[in-house]
Amino acid sequence: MHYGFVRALDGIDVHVQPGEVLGLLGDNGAGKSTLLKVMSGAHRPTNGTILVHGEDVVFSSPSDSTHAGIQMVYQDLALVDAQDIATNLSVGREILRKGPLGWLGFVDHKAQRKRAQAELDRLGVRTAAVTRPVEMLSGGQRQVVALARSATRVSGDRGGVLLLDEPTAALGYEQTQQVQALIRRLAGNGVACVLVTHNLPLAMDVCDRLVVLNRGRKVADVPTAQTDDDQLVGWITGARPSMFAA
Amino acid sequence: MTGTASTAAPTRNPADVDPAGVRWLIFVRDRGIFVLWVLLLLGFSVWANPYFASLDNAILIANAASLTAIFAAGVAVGIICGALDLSIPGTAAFGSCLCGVLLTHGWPTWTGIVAALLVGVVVGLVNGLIALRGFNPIVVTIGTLSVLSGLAAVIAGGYTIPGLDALTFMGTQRYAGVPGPVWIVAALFVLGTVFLTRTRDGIRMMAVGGNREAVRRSGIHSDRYTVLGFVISGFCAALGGLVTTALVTEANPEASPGIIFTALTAVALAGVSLSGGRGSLPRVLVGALILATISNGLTIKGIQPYWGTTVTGLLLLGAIGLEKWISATVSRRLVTTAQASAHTGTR
Amino acid sequence: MSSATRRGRAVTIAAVGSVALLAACGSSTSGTSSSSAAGSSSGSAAAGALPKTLVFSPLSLAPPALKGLSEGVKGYAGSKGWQVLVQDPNFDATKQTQQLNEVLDSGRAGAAWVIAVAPKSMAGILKAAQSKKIPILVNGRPDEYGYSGAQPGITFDYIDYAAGGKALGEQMGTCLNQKHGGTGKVLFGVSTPGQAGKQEFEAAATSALKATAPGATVVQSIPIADRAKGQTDIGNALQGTPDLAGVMSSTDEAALGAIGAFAAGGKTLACNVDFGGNDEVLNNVKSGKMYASVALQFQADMAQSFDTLARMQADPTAKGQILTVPQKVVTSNG
Repeated sequence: MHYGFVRALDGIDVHVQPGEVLGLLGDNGAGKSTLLKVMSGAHRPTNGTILVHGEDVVFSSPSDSTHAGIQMVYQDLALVDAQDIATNLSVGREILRKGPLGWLGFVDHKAQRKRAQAELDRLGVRTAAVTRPVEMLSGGQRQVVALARSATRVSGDRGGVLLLDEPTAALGYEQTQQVQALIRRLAGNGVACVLVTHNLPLAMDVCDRLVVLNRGRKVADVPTAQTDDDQLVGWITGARPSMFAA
Repeated sequence: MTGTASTAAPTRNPADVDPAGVRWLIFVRDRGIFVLWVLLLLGFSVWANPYFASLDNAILIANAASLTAIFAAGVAVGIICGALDLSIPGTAAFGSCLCGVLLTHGWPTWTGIVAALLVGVVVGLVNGLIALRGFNPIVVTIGTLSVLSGLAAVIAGGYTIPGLDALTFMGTQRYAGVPGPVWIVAALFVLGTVFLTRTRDGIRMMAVGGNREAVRRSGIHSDRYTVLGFVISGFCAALGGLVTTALVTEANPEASPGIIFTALTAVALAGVSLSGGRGSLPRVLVGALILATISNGLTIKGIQPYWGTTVTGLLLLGAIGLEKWISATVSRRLVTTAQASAHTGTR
Repeated sequence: MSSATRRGRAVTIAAVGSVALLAACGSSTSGTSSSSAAGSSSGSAAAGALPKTLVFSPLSLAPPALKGLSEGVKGYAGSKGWQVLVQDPNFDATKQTQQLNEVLDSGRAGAAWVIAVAPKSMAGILKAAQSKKIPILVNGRPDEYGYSGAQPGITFDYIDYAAGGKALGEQMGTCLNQKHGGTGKVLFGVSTPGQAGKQEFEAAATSALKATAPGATVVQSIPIADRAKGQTDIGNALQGTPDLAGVMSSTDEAALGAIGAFAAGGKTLACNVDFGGNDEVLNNVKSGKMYASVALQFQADMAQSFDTLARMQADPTAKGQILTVPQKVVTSNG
C-alpha cells in the first residue's frame, strides 16, 4: 500500500497459523508497523486481500477487525490513565448490574474487579491491585495491563489473532521475561500471535517463525530453528539477498 | 543501582501497598478541597462573627453557589470529555430569552422551561457534531456563542424580558426552608456523579475524555460520547440560564462571559485537569461553594468584592501548584516502589 | 469607547419606550417652533434660508433604543413640519464625520443633532457647521469637545450627574426622615468603574444624604454590574448588616436586585431609591415597592433638543445653549 508517494508495502504475502508466534523483523521504515496496521484494520490497503480463517474480509475500521477476532496492542498502549486496571480491562464489555439498575446502565464494579483479577491470574500475570489507577503504574506494569486487555479479548470462535507492536521496547529484563511467558502461554491456548520487534534475542526465543521485511518487501520467511542471528541481520540490513527470486 | 530494595522477602506483595506518604498525598489531592472549604468556613465564622455562622447565611451561600455550580457542572463535564465549551453563556441567554418570550405570550410555564432545556440539548448536538468533523472545540463553541448571543438579542427585541414571576418556584421560593436552586443543584450533582462513576455510558464518556483512541480501539463509538458530553454541557447551560432568570424574574439576552470565568475557576479549583478524562463533580460543587463562601464572608465584613476575586485567584494558583507538586511526588515515590517490586516477588 | 459616548449611549439606551410613544402620537406635542414659517422643506440652498431638514446622526441604528429615538425624532420633527435625515455611522467615528461633512456641504442640512461616536474627533464638524451657520446639537459637555463654555451655533446637551446624585441623596434622606426617624444604615449600590460621571454622582449623593438626614450613614458601597450578581451581593451585605434601612442605587439593576435580595432574605427594605427610571422601576415606585426614582426624562429631552435647534436656526450666530437631560423625581405620589 502507499503512503502518499511512498510504497510502504509491496507484494507482501504473510500468513500465520493458530497457536503460532510469527516474528516480523526489519529495520526502521521497512514497513513492519504498516503491515501490522493493515492487519488490524487501522489502515486500508490500496490493493490486496486479507483472509481470516480462510475468509476474505475487509476492515473499514479497527472495530471490524475486533469482530473478526483480531486484537492489537499498540506501542502507545492506548490505556485510559485516569481509570483503574479493572475499568481499563472492562471497557467495551462492562458487566451491568442485575435488575432495573442494570437496565439504566449501572455497572457492577465488584463483578468487574473480580473478573479482572481472575483474568490476570489466568494469564499468570502479577501486577498491582486492580483498583490501582493505571497512571500510577510503572511502564512495565502498564505494558502488562495492555497485553492482558488484548489477551482477554482475543478470542473469536476459532482462536483469535494478537498483533503486538514492539511490546518490550520500554521494558527491563524482568518484565520482558514476563511478556515472553505471556505470549507463549497465549500461543499455547491457540492464539496466533504476530510480533513486531527490533529485539532479535526476544524474537529468537519467542517466535516459531520469522519474516523479515526490507523496504516494503518480504525478503525472508523462515522457521526460527532454521536460521541464526547473522542471517537475520543480513536480511534486515539488506546485505544478504532476499530468499525469494526478485 | 541500589534502590531501597533491601527489605527481607515481604509477606505481602509490595506493589499492593502504597509506600509511606503516597496515601496521604493522594488524600490531599483528592479530598483537600473539602478540607479547604471547612477551614474557610471556620475562619470566616470566627472573623465575621456573629453574622457568618448562621443557618440563614448558610442558605445564602448555598443559593449564591447554585448558579455557579450549575454552570460549573456543564463546564466540568465538557472538559472531562475533552472539550472546553465556551458557548455556555450564549445558550443560557438564548434559552432563557426563549422561555421569557413564550411566557410573556401566554404559553404555559412548563413549555417555556422545556423549550429552554431543548435549546441546550440542540446546541450541544450542534457543537458536538461540528467538533467531530475535526474542528477545535474551543473555536467551534466560540462560534456558536456568537450565533446564540445574536439570536437572543433578536428574540428579546434588544431588551430584557422582565416580570417573569411564574418562574419563582425555581427561584426564590423555598421548600422545607431551602431555596429552589439549591434543590436543583443537589439533584443535578447527585445524578451527574452517579452517572459518571457508576453507569456504563458515564464511565465510557470519561474514558473517551481521557484517551479517545483507547476507547475507540476497544470497539466503542467514541464519537457518540463526545457528542453526549457537549449535550450535557449545553443542558447545564440552559438550566443555569433558567435558574438565573427565575432568581431575578427577568430574562437577559446579554450573554455574560463572566459566567465562564467563575465556572472555570470553580472547576480549576476542583482540580479537574484541562486535558480531560478525570474529575469529580462533588469537588466541583465544593469549588463553587468556596467561591461563594469567600465572596459572602468578605462582603459581610464590608470588604470590596475585588478582594474576593483576588483571594480566589491566589487560591487557584496555590491549588494548581499544590496539585502539580503532589503528582510529581507521588510518581517519584511510586517509581521507587516499582523498582523494589521488580527485584522481589515477581514470577 | 469614551465616557461621553457611553453617556450618549446611556442617555439613549433607556429612551425607547417613551420615545416610541412620541413617534406614534407626534402631533400632540406642544412647544413653539420659531423658525421661519411656511414650513417649506425645499432642499436647495435658497439664499439666506436654511431648509427645515434635521440631520440626526446617532452612534448607530443597531441598538433598539437608538432606533426608537430616531423614530421618535422623525415623528416629533414631522409634526413641526420638519424633515429628518437619519444617518447610521455604525459606531465608526470616521464614517460619522464623513457622512456629516457630506450632508453639511451639500446644503441639505438645516440643523444637525449628533450623538458622537468620538467627541474629540468632532472638532472639524463643529467648525464646519458654525461656518455654514447650521445649528448643531451634540450630546455631552463642552469640555468633552474641547470647548470651555457655550459656543455660537452649538448646543450641548448632557446628563447632569452631580444634580442626579444630589437628588438621589436627598430622596434617601427624606425617606429615612419619614420612615426611620432620620437615622439608619444605608447601602450604596454604585456603578462599575469607568461609567460616566461616577465620581461626581457619588460625591453629590453622599453629601446630599448627609445634609438631609445627618443621622444616616452609608455603611457599604458595592459596585453592581448586573442584576443577578447584584442580588447576590446585596443579599450578602444584608447578612452582615441585618438592620439595613436603605439602599440607594446609581442604576436600575442595583435597585431591582435589592428588591430581590430583601425578599429572598425575608426582610423589608424601608427605603429603596435609585437613579435611572426604567419601566419596571417606575412601576415599582407606583406600587410602593420603591420609595422614589430620579428618572431621566428622555422624551422631554428630545423635545427640548429639537425645539432648541429649531430656534437656533433663526439666529445661528447667537450663543448656543447648554442643556441638561431633565430629571424628575418620581415618588408614589406621582
